Amino acid sequence: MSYVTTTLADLQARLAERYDSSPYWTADQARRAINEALRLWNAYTGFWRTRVTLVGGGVGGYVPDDPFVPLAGTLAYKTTVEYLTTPLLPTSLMEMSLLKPTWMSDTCATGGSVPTLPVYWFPISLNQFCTWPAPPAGGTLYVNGIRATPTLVNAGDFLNLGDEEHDVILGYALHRLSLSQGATALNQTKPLFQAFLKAAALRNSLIAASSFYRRAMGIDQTRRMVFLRKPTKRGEILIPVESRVSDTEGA
Amino acid sequence: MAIPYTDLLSEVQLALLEPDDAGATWPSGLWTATEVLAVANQRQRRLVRDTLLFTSHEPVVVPAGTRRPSLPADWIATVAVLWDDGSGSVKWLQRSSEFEANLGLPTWISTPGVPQVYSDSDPDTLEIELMPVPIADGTLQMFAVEQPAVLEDVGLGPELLTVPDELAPGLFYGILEDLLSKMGRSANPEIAAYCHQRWEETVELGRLMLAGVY
Repeated sequence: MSYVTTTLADLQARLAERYDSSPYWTADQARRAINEALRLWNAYTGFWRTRVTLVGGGVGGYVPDDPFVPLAGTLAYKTTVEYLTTPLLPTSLMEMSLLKPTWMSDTCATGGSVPTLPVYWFPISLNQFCTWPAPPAGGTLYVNGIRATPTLVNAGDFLNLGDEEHDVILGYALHRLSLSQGATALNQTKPLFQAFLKAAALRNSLIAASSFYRRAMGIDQTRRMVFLRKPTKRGEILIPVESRVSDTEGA
Repeated sequence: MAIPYTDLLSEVQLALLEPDDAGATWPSGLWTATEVLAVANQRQRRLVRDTLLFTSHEPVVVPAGTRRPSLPADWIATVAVLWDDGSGSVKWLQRSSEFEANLGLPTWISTPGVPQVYSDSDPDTLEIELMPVPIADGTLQMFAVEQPAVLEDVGLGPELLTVPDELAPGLFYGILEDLLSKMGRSANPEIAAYCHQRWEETVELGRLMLAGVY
């Protein structure tokens, strides 16, 4: 079920209220900035999710006995895969190739130690993944993942996002619009961008641990605390180790 | 992946205070349409390469004794290589170098065998090197990043971006970084530095995407 409380027009009006004068942007520019904020929000938090059904041998489904399963563009990226009612275990191309060298030719009908139903899945690309063994005909794969961000086009389009998140979305949009006003305006609105990132990090710990988040928030102090070059001492002067050759020559 | 490249160029024009005509003209004279389109294509290829989001699988047939098989013409980066000898079993080839192979497999050139490692940094462009040299015919199951579609007007309208919509802002910032790093009147180092930071953020985000862990 989608949120149906706030329209694009509402957001554009609220964005204009955040500028102490007549806005320097047009309604279309505001729309673009808001859509950019939503796309980044989805990228950081995986907020908009969906479930895609792939029927064996069906239109838009998977090819039976082929380990490579294509995905349509509606799914931005995948998080879990199920075969009928059984979740598949995630692995990787490297692990599968090292531990199951016959994975490219194994099917559910291979027999021996090969299972009769898919057990593992691993991503190949954003729009393709593989299963082991290859899924059979007549089955169904369910892929749960993050769907493409809904784009607001018309003034009456509803934003499928709770009101509690709108503030940071509009803050980012304002920061984005300030780009055209020069470096001073960009720096003035930087706290809005940081607030946006912080709100996203609350939803996704991976973002909080990433280096770009730490740099953007100005909390990456590690480089300042670790001496990058081991110094050698001569008298009271600390000399970087790169100068050691000249020290030897002078001795 | 549903954003036409002209929308992206419109965003760039609006950010640079140029009239918005989907990138067709740049009246300021600081940039040309051809230049901006070239930058957009370069940045998309770079984003695709750095994030490895669009890896494709392509078998490459390798006759026995071929030390340096050719790579496909649209190859950008190698993600993984498997050696398939046709028996139904594949072998994971580790990325290595001639230096390592000379130390670890000193007879890799003179004594053919089943490839153990590969190198795509030592041979010529669009070639891959197998160590040892294959003793029998086989197939390289290549997992590699291919060049994305060129951003241009096609029969039914403008080409769509290859990258997901969620990474399109990164392309925008990458293009801006290049345009504002140009020597001359258009140089704006401060905003270019900001755009560079946003570009790096996008690359890192793209790498997290494929992990699919949320």
